[in-house]
Amino acid sequence: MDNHFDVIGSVLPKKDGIAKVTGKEIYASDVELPDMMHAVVLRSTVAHAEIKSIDTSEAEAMGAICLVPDDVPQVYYNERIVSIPEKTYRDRLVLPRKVRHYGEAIAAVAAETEEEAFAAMQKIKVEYKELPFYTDPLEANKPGAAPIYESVFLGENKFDVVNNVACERNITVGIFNCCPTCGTRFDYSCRLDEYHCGCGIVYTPAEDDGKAFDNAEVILEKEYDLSRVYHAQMETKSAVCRPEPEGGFTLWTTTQSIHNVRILLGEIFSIPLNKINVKRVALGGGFGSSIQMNSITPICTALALKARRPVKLVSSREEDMYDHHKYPAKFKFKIGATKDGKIVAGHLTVIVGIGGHNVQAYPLLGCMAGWYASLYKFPNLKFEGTAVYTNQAPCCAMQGYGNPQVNFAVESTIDMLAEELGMDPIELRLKNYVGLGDEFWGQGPTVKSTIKSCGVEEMLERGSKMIDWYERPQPGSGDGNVLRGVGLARGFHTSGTGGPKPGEVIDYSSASVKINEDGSVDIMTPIMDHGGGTWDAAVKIVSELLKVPYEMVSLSPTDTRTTGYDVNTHATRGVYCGCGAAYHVALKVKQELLTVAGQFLEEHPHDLDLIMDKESGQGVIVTKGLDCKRMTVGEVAAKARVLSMGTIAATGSYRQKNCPPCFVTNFVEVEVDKRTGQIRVVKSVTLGDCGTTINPDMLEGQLVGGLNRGIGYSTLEEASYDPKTGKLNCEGFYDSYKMTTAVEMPPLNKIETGFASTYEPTGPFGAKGLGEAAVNSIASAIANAVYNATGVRFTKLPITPAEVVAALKAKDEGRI
Amino acid sequence: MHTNTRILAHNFVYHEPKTLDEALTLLDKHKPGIKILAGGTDVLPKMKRNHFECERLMYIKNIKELSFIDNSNGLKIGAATLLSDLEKSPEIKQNYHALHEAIKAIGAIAIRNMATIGGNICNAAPPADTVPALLIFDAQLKLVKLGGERTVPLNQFITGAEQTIIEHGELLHSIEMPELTGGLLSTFVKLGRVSVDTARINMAVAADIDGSSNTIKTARVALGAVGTKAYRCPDSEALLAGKKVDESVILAFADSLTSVCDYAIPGRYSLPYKREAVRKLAEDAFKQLLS
Amino acid sequence: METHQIELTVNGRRRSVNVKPNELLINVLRNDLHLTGTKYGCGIGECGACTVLLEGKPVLACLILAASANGATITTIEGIGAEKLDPVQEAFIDHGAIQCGFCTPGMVVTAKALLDENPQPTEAEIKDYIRGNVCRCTGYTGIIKAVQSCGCGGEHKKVTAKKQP
Repeated sequence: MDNHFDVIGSVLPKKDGIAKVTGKEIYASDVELPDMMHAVVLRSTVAHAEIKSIDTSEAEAMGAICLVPDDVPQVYYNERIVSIPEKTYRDRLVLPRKVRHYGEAIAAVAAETEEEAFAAMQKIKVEYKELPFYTDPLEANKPGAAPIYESVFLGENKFDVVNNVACERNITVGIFNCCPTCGTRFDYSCRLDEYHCGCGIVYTPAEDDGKAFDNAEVILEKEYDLSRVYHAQMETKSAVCRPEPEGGFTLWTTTQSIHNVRILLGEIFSIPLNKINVKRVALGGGFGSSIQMNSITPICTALALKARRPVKLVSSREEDMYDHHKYPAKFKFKIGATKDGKIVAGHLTVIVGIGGHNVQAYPLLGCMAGWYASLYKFPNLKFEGTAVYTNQAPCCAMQGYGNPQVNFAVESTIDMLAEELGMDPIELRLKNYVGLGDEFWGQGPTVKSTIKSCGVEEMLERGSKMIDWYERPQPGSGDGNVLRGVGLARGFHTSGTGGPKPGEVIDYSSASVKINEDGSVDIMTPIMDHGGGTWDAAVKIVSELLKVPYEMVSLSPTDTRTTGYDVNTHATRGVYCGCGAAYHVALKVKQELLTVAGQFLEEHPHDLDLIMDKESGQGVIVTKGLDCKRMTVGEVAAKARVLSMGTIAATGSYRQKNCPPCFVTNFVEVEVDKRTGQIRVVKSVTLGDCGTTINPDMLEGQLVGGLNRGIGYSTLEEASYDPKTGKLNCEGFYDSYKMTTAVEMPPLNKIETGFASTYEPTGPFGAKGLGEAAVNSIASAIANAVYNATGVRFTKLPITPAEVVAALKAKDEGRI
Repeated sequence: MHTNTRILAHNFVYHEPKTLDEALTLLDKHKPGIKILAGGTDVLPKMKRNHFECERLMYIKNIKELSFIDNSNGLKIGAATLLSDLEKSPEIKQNYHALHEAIKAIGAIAIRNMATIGGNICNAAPPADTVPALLIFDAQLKLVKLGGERTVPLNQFITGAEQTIIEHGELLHSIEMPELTGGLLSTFVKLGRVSVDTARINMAVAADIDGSSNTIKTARVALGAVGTKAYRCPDSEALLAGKKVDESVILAFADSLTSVCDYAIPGRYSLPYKREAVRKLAEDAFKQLLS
Repeated sequence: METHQIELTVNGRRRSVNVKPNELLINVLRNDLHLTGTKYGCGIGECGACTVLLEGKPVLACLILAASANGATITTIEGIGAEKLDPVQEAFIDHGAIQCGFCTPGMVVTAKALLDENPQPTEAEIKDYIRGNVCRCTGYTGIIKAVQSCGCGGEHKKVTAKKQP
């Protein structure tokens, strides 16, 4: 911790700690309003079908308010409006005309109680004309497969869906996109069907001329298959909507962006934004599942507008589990390197089965390319990504947004490459990693910046000592029934989606800061906090700038009517971008404060300093130099009031012009039981590089939380489908969806965390983000450790006990 | 059919008898549409998932006659005794240790504060944890109804997955186990994916070990979650009898359990896994017995 | 449908509610008594978010028929630290045991019950006791540390299952 900070880097009580620990914190699912009705959604019991008719007469006879596709605006939207409109695919209606996955919302009911609404919903008769359905993207992609969509929208244009392909993204760098005749390079950021070279050649990028690997002395080709998993955020998706007497409505909902929800609902229901107020409430877990407006939110709104009464809609767990999953991925990865460990070329193809709606598959593919391009330097790089519609729950970002998936493919392969080359895995990584001074485009090819802070080497070195890396066993050399192994993986994530120029992704935040008449400070910011400490970081940043003690600075309750726009709390941008805006606005307040104080003290603002006086609970303006004039911030504000001068405040928006990567290095030690196939992480060393650690305790919490979810992702969790019924195998119930409990975590004294001593010059007080980086490389580290323990390489996630037992048996019997 | 686990969507008449007589009268009068509610940890999830419904639900946890632990002659447990009360009993921990361990392995503390041993038995899920432990202690079940009662051995009571021979109008009253010969060590092992899981395999083992010669005089073994109900393993028991406790006998024990799996669930998808995994349970059982 | 008039003592206050047979305790607490601290997480007893104390013992409100709780003494999260934060609540704040906070009420109730029964729990005992409470954010270590800190000399007040006279 840097000693010259007053609050940055200190461990201070979480601002919402008392509310959460006494059950007083209000989440969307807790909101109660007078005269409120309760809503329940009718979800399809088939995986793919035309809806021939919906008969709500019996439900209405019970007194329920019903909502069917005819009752909602026929406006196609994409529930995630983070990408620019030209690059946004739109296939959603509030209620669809066609069912595209089991559990899709197709009608809804509001009644006086939830029990009544559910009883009425059960009386709705739906006639389906069932169609062939697909739970495997390879099947959905076959010519002749039943189309899940005929066409959707891309920007303002119609986009024909062929072979159920939602979108594609092919990106090449280096020799892959050189003209094979004259060697001229093509612009790799565009995806074209053909490149017309000046020499007359027409080159189709899909042709792999193979030249890129010519200088490779070692080539590996591997395949990986990662399952869908479920976010399993603790709070199920909820909304409460209250129509307002003058038109429009007020809304409380589970969201990571109150402003995007407002914009979308304004568009869908043709209501001006000044008549829509989305209130910010605590969110019971996001992990990316509320980046987009949740599917139940416009349904709840439509019901409330129809009923002309407040309506509350809270999803059941099984509904929620049918509503959103993490993107699965099937990879093929080819890597080439020289004998002394320099990577020469890489070719990664991925197929993603995205489910029944395209939430953000196109930017996902761009990000996947970016994650792949930003782990190690590939002088020649090819990425081919295809997103395919399937009849499953629509996928959306989950912690890492393709990064954990790509990381698994690359970090597993790098380990295998190291073994092939006879090189230590750390050494190979150090030879090739993207680091200080290199170009980073983790958010896709249009979001690029140069890395200005990097702790990768420090973390690899420190971590290797903390886990006795060089004393680890030879792969599969153990005997007995319990095999021990150590594995390593490194990862990173972006801090937001900013860049030198605005690109495909919208990224800016707004904030307002004002000084109250007693010297306390209010911050109005629409950014969300998923529990990781974003809000506390905002408070600390403003407190540090204005030197007003932490207890005297607070975030105001906010909503969309009293705050400027913030795109979303996602992409690990809460601190770097969201709080970055608060920082820049607070700087303006500081200027104004010093100007006003300067008037009172008869000093030039340049001759004044701010210091924090924790005892008096005040920021204090003092003169630099010999005169010891001083005035507290409270005294300045009080005098300004008495003199009718005004409130010292500022408002503004800010766009970060970089997206500095935050890095994480994971070392894990596992024990694998040959007989039960169980994989236990017995020791974990996680080092993070997030620049200045604003909330060191909460950052540690991010690393440990990431470890927990990574253990689940790699060894337990599976939102898999029954190909015969189109239903989830676990049917949406928690007893069948396995997640880690406290017992599965390593012993406390075996969980070690630490932070690199880096400073990000473009971040507020030198800070970057961390959140998603905490989970991106855990599964890879565990898989690498399992290989070290057993000598068997697992390329499918989750690694289940049955697979481990079968593989180890086969190895013992010499069959593999 | 739709589900909503936020509520209990089914309608029924609720009864809460104060005495056993009252309960039996109700059961007789309203059978077969009247069902029993004890802890609710099986019945309510089933109802919420539309796997169970009834016209009437009779809550029995307030009937004092059904909740007791009697150590005076062997062990007698009221069917509606809470699992957490059984867990706290020092006599059960001391003398019927496998039952103590089995109960501790169930769910989590909140579940055990609600669930009853009678419920665990009558629900008769193949991985029910109390059943293997009760089997090695030769548990008998007392079933009562208006105007009569009968006693049935546990291994006859459960006939298959979630199937018992309980008749309409009957109520499980208590579980009785004979007194054990002194020195019988017992233990329980369970394999699940995570700590709160239902068992993929569970097993109760008891052995009367002669301390001086380190020889097993007699052994009792019951395996659960491998097949439609838990059962004793006479071949494994015979194999252990008279043997000295050492590595080779534990290995042989493991082999015998693998054979039991092969015999019990041939062709089942889980067989290749369970026949290997059970070997760890065999080793763990002995480790625990001897510690 | 026949309804039942039930009397509950909730957080030390006597409450009277009229319930249908199929009403769940969790919904009576949240909707009728407006105590929204107790959360719905899964509805089938697998996540612990709805944990409350019944006669001082942790139970799952999503699996209890309100009618069957007639006469019971119940403590919800709102009844813990109402006047002054309980040491376990302070410990949760101090040890990074809270992130999104949705599992927190269930966790605090469970942790308090543990400390009432076992004032100096070991790490293994804590993990075992909270194994039915799912936390998706923290990875559990902050929660375990918080409970441990209460055990090491932290003063701890026992929840008494007292009925209002």
